[in-house]
Amino acid sequence: MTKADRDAAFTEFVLARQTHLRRVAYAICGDWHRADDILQTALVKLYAAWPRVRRDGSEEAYVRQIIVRSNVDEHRRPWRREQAGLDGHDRETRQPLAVEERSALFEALQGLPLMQRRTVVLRHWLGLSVRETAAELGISEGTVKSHSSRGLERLQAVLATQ
Amino acid sequence: MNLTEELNRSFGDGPAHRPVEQTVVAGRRLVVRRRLATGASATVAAVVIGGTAFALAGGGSPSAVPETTFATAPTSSPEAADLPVDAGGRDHDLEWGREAAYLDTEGNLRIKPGWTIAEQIDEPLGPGSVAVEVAHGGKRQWFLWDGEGGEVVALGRPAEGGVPDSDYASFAGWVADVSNAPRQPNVEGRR
Repeated sequence: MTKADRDAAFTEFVLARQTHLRRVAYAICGDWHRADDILQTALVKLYAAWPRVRRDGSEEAYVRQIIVRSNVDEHRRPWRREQAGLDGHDRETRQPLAVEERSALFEALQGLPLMQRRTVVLRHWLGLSVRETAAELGISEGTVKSHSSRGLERLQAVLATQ
Repeated sequence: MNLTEELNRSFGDGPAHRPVEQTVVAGRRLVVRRRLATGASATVAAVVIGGTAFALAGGGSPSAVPETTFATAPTSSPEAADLPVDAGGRDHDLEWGREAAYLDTEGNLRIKPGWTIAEQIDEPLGPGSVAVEVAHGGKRQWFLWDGEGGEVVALGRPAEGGVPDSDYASFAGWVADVSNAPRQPNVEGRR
């Protein structure tokens, strides 16, 4: 694969999937700008690993896994709020979405503990199997089931009140 | 309840995306950094093993007279395999060549007296980046900076005549490979 081929294939993948992948990041972190940063980090790593990942046909799973796991890492970093965006191209305006643009269900999702939130997103929004979700999150299938069950219960309670 | 549909409706698509070109450039830089890290590790390993071999052969003794020693690279990396290394494990050629050019704090390219720029490629890694081939007598050295803080992100091997890194036929080929970018059209040529 030549460099031009690599850039073209990578660009095609990004343009086709970036909206969906950023929504995954947003569903987990609840902030569009952080979701943007997380996606950029994941895509840059994907570019570096492109020949191998492309050969395996696992581009989307590769990025999704980084998104899910990098979000956890960001939560553990005390300096994360002071970090600028990728390569100095930070957005000047960082306004959160108006509250009315986010539904009660989405707010309830954001109120779930992180692992429950990630499990619900992967299992019940993206439709991954228990096994796939366990592999993506690096936890056991039993843990996926328990987190999924508790998270779903809380979301159903929110929907029931609407 | 159909949670998938409900969640799909619960938020939009967000603001405009960043230009994908930005991501490609950042990806290329990551590739360069990884290659540099790999090359640096191989160089250090070669120097350490070369120095150890010398010490085991008695070279560490004050009475020993260091003659010619060679780094015996355990890897296929060509970085330091056949460069002379003294008793302290220092690579005189590489260190000497490393000081031939640098970016000052303002990002201006500076060349050490006695060296001249043989070839220059602007912005192989995007704005602010620059690659140069510098020459001093029969020696040549290749540099590439990413333009962020003047960091050297790749360094070719110095050599007497020929090309600094024997893996590459030309400076432009080396820059294209380490920057993982297509050959640049804005080569200024030999000055």
